[in-house]
Amino acid sequence: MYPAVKPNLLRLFFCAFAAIVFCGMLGNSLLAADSETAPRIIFEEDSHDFGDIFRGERVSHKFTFSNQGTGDLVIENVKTSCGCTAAAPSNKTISSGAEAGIEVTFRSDVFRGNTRKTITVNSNDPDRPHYVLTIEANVLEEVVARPRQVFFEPVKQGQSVTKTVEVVPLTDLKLKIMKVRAASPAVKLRYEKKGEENAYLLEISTRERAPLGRFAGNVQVFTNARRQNVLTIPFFGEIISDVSVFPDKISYGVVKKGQETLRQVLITIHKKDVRLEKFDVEPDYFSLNLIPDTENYFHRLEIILGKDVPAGRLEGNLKIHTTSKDQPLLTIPIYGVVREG
Amino acid sequence: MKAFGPIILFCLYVSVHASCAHCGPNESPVRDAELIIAFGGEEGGYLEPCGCEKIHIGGIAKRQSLLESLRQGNKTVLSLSLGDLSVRRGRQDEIKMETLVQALGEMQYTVHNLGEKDLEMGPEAIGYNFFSSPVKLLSSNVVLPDTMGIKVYPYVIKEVKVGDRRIRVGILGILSPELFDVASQGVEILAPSEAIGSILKELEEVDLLVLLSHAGLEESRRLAETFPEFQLVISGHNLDHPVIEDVGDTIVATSGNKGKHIGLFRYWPGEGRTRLEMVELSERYVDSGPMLELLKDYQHRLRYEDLLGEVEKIPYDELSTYAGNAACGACHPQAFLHWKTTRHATAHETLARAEHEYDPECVACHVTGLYYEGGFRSLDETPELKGVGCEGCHGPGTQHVEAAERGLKTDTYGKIEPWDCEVCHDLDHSSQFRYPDYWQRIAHPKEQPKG
Repeated sequence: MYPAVKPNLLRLFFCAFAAIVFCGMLGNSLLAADSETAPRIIFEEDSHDFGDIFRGERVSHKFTFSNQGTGDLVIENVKTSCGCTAAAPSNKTISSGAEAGIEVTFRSDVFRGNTRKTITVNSNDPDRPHYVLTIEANVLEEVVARPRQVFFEPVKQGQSVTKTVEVVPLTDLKLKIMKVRAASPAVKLRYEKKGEENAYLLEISTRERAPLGRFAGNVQVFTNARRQNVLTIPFFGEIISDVSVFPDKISYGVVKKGQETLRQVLITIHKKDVRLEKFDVEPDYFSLNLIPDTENYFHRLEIILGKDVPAGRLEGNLKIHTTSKDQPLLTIPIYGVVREG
Repeated sequence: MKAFGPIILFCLYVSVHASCAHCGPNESPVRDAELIIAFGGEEGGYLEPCGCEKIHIGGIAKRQSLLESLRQGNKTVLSLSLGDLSVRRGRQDEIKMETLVQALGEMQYTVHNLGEKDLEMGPEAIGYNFFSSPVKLLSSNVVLPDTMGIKVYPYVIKEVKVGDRRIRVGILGILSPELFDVASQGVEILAPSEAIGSILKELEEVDLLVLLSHAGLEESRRLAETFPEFQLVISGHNLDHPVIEDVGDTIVATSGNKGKHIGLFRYWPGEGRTRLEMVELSERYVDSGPMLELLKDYQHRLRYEDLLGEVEKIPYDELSTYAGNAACGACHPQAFLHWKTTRHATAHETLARAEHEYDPECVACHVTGLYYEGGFRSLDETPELKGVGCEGCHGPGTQHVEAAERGLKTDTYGKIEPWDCEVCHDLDHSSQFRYPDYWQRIAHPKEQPKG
């Protein structure tokens, strides 16, 4: 039959249970005693509205709180969302009945319009361990760019395309542009006063000798605005010739040996009479599959990494031969790593 | 019978305390079959928390751990991405986008909603990344030029098994027309309410309806009011903290940007009950191995493509460029000797130990003048500019050196304000930064030039 539990073992088992239950109850009673001496964090206000402020301004507010519990209140840390800094009180332990403050500073440089930020105060208050404070502000701009960003449709290499941005003050500031600059070799800049108006016209032009490919960057406009003395205008576009490819480098990442992996290149034909002639790929464990476009505009070329690739560094090239006079050959580097499975 | 008393008490004790130990403050002990809709987005290229930051929050490696942990037990997880994987600034952001799309695929995301930053990356980048991705590209109101054969789903109905039930979840997604300059890219953006209205008219019956609203909170609230059919409206756009609101019977929620939080909409079909919670991707979530591999490959790609060498340089000033620490030390030997003992001096070594020394975004704050002509280019070309040197804080000094050599006063050179430090010591990279404390770590007296 079934083995019976010996009576003395059973007694021992029950005693162990009883001891555990006693400890648990003792623990609970200690916790109860703790809650009688618990700290309690009470803020005079949970939120503060700075109202209208100008971009670039820094504003501060002190949130005052007190410990209305019976035990010591310990501020473990203060977390803020972006744009805020908050200084925890210098003395992190606040005794019962005492007051302290958290100084919050909001930096408005990168915001616009109604903005709401939170500050989380983490403490040992058992009821509100994560106390959330809120600050709000309506961030006004002193100077704006219209449009705020510039996009160039694909620009043929050798041509220069100009986009004009109006820079205007939104206050009674008599605007003056001190200088403009951009890091990109693809564009050049020029600015002038807009007639008699209190505004400037900024021209962003692609350079005729700009390198082929996608470009992106920011124009920095330095003005005499006291609070917002740098205005940033993002721009992006692409310089093309007869054929463009994306991406211009192909990565296989880390591939397990024996795993077939597919990557692709998107080929766009910008000149109607240009044709794709042939493709070469090296090393030879790559194979190719062209998904042609009957309208000869957008072709998709699949580059398949075979299963028989040896482990190690993967390096090669895809060569695209075209009938273009300017771009008879496009070379796309291929790289990656093949790991033992 | 007396023996059963302690046993019952013990069982009660264990059951109460065990559930407390395993559940967070918001977690339910309910064991019924559950559907979890996990949402987040607006990564803006934020792949991982900066290693310099003491508190590590967010990143794809922690996110995968959370999603994997949710899939344990009697739970079905649908993961939805709100949009804006990267921002168009150059090749590094293209690689980030590719890495993130790969990550979403590995994390079994169902859809990615188009955001304005995704559109700014260009149709070719979208087409390249999503053509063979298992993640469906979603937008109910964005029409891309059809020349590139990119498949954008106006809605997705996902049927999932939750316990012994089959649940159909309808997912729509919109982009606010206010966020994108439609005149520029051959992209058409329909009015969100018109697009949603016409889809809802045709939509087959579903058990749950979710809207990914890539719009400001105000616009998302309005959509929730107009279309009370949605149980959940996931909002966003530049909110850096989670928000949960009720608009009628609809929950409007954002998990904030940069993927630091993940929203979890929990649905127990057996009880018809729902609950929403936000999870901070804090250090309680370990970094998942496959995502760490992906991040390592990302760093490898930056190095292979030599993006550090391709950083476009701003002409700092026509008159002044970087002189190097030795030139500063020639006249300010005490300050120079003190600097050598600070962590600014070894900032590049710190980065190299973390194996991020080829990542231009990291290098910029660990060397002197990366983004400026005459500034750091590489260890081989400009070894004197590694680390955060004197001119990293005080600005290029050749003009100052030349003036000093001619015996001219140069009092205006090098004055800095506390907030100049925040260019690098910002919230994502140095959240503990407090100027008075940090200044003490590098404090050097004003030193009269030698001789």
